[in-house]
Amino acid sequence: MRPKVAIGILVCAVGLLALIIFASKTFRPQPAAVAENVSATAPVTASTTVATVPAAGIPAADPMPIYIPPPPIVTNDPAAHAKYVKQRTEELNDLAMNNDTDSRDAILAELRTNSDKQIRAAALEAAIQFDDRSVVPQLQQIADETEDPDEKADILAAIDYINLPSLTEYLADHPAPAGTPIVRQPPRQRIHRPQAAPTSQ
Amino acid sequence: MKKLKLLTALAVAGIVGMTAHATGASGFETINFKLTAYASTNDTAKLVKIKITNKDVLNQVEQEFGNVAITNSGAKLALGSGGIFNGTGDIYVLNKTNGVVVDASNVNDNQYQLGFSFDHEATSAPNNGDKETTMAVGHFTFSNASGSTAGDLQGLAKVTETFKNNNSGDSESFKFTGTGNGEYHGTSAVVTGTISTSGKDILDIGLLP
Repeated sequence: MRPKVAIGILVCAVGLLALIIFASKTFRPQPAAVAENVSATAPVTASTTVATVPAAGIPAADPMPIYIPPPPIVTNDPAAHAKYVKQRTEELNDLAMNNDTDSRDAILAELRTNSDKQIRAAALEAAIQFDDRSVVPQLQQIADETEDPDEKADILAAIDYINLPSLTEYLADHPAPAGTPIVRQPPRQRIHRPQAAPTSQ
Repeated sequence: MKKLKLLTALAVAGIVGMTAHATGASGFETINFKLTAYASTNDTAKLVKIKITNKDVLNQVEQEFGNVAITNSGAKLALGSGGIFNGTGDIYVLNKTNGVVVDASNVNDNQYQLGFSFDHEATSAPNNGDKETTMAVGHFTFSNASGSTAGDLQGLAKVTETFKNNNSGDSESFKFTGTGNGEYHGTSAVVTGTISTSGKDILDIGLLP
């Protein structure tokens, strides 16, 4: 084999290797603390493929779910990004109103892996609205892994809030005494703007 | 080249899938309650701190209407069509498929109340433009049937409306930050926090020709 051919093959091999390494880094799910960028992952729903493995720092009975999200989609279009954030926030809100562990784990996986700060914030709100203290160990672990001080503080504040007794729990523990005074406020009048001719919906 | 084409195809498929999947309830704005109550107590030197989220509100609504579907998994709170100002202002419970379970603001023959009201409105560009911001003094009122559990919050309400052609695609987001009084089974409380909504296809007949 001539030296020029050998060198050419070597250069091609190195280039291919670099391409593979770049691709693997680009398509790997990002940890919660990574710097903000414009990439966005495709929606992850409660039905997304799940594998569970035990994780350090949380009870063995509550293994850390690992979601395998689809490859991230990079977009530089602010409108497309805003649309994605709005849509994924709505989906997370819907998941928050469920009571099943798949929904809980999907919310937490989004908080842990999504590279988009806005989506992570929406996932944290969904974790709060899920209203189940079983999210706390994983939230604590995510907080421990989060480098952004503001995000870390938000997660820790959310943990404190989730650990509070809920109104439902409080009322169950404090039954209404007989003869509780009625404290009804008078109904307020709503303001309305001048209306154009009504249109059918 | 084939790998590049495959990656491109995957990316396009992902974008298509992303845009095709929409779960928002058309014509409704989903509501999130995130309130904290500080309740009096005779037991300790500390106030009792209580969280109030969507599922607590749903529980209260279920007790009023006696419909277990209200607290089924997936049921959610939503503001009715028309937006925060020009709709009826009623709060609905929707099921998992966005069907209406109950108009939770419907006042029965008792003390029950649930809803928003506003006054002292300031608007950025009324009746003009494709985006409008409104600040108002908002009030949120709740009382259960007997009046034994109640709350009345007042605070700043910020409403952002984005208009499209012919009402279709109108969207609105609303954030209310308020503080007020609560009454929980004979215990008085101070309540503070946020109530936010967002939705699309909000018919805003007062602002469009």
